[in-house]
Amino acid sequence: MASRALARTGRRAVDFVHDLGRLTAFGMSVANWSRRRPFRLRRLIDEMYDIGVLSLAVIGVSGVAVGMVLGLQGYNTLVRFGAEESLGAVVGLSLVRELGPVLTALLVAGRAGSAIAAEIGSMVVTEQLDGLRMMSIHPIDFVVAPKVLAMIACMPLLSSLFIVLGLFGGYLVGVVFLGVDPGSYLTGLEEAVEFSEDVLGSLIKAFVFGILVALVATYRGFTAAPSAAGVSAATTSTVVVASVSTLIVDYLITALWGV
Amino acid sequence: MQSAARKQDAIPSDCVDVRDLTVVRGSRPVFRGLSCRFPLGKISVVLGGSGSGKSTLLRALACLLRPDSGEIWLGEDTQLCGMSERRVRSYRERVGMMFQGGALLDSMTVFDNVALPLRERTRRSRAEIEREVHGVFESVGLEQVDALLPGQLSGGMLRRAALARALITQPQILLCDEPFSGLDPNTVRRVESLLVDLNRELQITMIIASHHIASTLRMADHVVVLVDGSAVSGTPEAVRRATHPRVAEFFVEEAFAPDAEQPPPDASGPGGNPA
Ligand SMILES: Nc1ncnc2c1ncn2[C@@H]1O[C@H](COP(=O)(O)OP(=O)(O)OP(=O)(O)O)[C@@H](O)[C@H]1O
Ligand SMILES: [Mg+2]
Repeated sequence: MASRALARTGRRAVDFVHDLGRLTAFGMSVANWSRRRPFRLRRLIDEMYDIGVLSLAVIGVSGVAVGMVLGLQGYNTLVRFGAEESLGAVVGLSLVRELGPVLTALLVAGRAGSAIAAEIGSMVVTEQLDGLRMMSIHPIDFVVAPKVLAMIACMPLLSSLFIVLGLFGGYLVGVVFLGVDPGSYLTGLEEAVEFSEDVLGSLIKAFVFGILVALVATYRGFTAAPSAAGVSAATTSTVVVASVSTLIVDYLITALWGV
Repeated sequence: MQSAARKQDAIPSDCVDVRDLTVVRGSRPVFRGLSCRFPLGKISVVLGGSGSGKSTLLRALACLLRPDSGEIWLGEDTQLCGMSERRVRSYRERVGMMFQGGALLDSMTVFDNVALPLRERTRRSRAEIEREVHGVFESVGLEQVDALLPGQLSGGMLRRAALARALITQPQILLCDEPFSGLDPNTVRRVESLLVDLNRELQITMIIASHHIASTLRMADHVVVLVDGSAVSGTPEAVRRATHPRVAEFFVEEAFAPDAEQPPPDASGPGGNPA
């Protein structure tokens, strides 16, 4: 009984390491193909539309909502210490350093990552990728690389949008509804947030999360079992794996670089 | 006529020679020591019931799957199994493949799909590409499909579009997975005569997987019947008179419905939809 459980754990661990190795090899191959000519600008723009533009609504609404919650919670806490002028700093720092990039990555993993995994997975099922291979077109070159590049390009932009709308949400609740002085909200914000540390760090985080979500989504789709169940498993595991690893990597970046 | 392991035989120069091919999918072997030949420059038809491994054999011939054992020789000097990636690429430049489900990219129009190999592999101008694509569309009998997506085509149109994509690069070897299923009798004859003409004019080697007995008997130079993971092959007449009980059964059943096509029960739909 116990030995079987041990064996299962061991097999899982070995599978995990295998998967990690294959994901790395896959990532290298994507990087390799992204550098080669011809550069597929047209496909990149199409993918940026699918990933970026179609995520705008989700990101926008979530950004404002999160900002409003931060404004409310921050105000309720700060007002106990009579420090409600620092609301701008609290809202700004938490959005820029953590919530902006992390929540954007989670939302994009759910919205665009799952779509990417499902699309590539269904291309496996219907032999579209084999069709490309028969035309001597590498599927990573033609299908995967543009999606990964588009995701990496979009993530910092979406994260920035999330942050800006979040600041607006915080302003709305703090200043307009609860009567914090608008000048001190903005001054607090301006003084607390440093460009070189906070903003740049935030962009770096979003960039790393973009790579992470894009690779997980395309890899899961690419290696999906050729069946409807395989595609749905790939989609689910994309969201789970991308979200969890985003949170873990976020901790690592914060701990190592102090961003 | 009966196939047997021919390990010691010299490799023929005028054939695609499949030797002792074993392919295991899942836990079950699809082929156990399959040996058969496809003469170069001729039309060969692979017959076999649903699930007998026709698509699997074509995939092996296209280097899309790595057999568990066995060799596939193209002439005397090319062994297709286990080639390097670069050699697979250069081999595939000479091969056109029509997939059973079409395998057209469902995010692109039919025109773009068929033009894709020309855009990727040649430096032809827009006008030239357009002329060639429309030429191929005409020869497979497709009209006014340029702006449609593959998902908007009927099953038969999809098949012809897939055939058009396989033909556009003027391959020396054409692998067709069930080009006739889902076509009406007129279109069957049209596609059939297109393939025969291409073969006679350009000596394209054709390997066609089919259930369609009537068209097979009309067009094939060479027939390979897959039964129980091995092959019975020969000229159409010889195979028809074969004494192998499973082979005879196959011809008797089909003889009652010479032009009616039996769609495979497990055929996947015409291209999935992107989620
Ligand atoms: N990916 C796979 N995993 C497991 N088994 C498979 C796989 N692909 C095919 N098979 C099995 O291989 C056998 C041959 O399949 P194949 O698609 O080559 O048959 P076919 O002769 O083309 O049939 P049809 O006429 O229906 O197209 C089938 O029994 C099938 O169950
Ligand atoms: Mg088949």
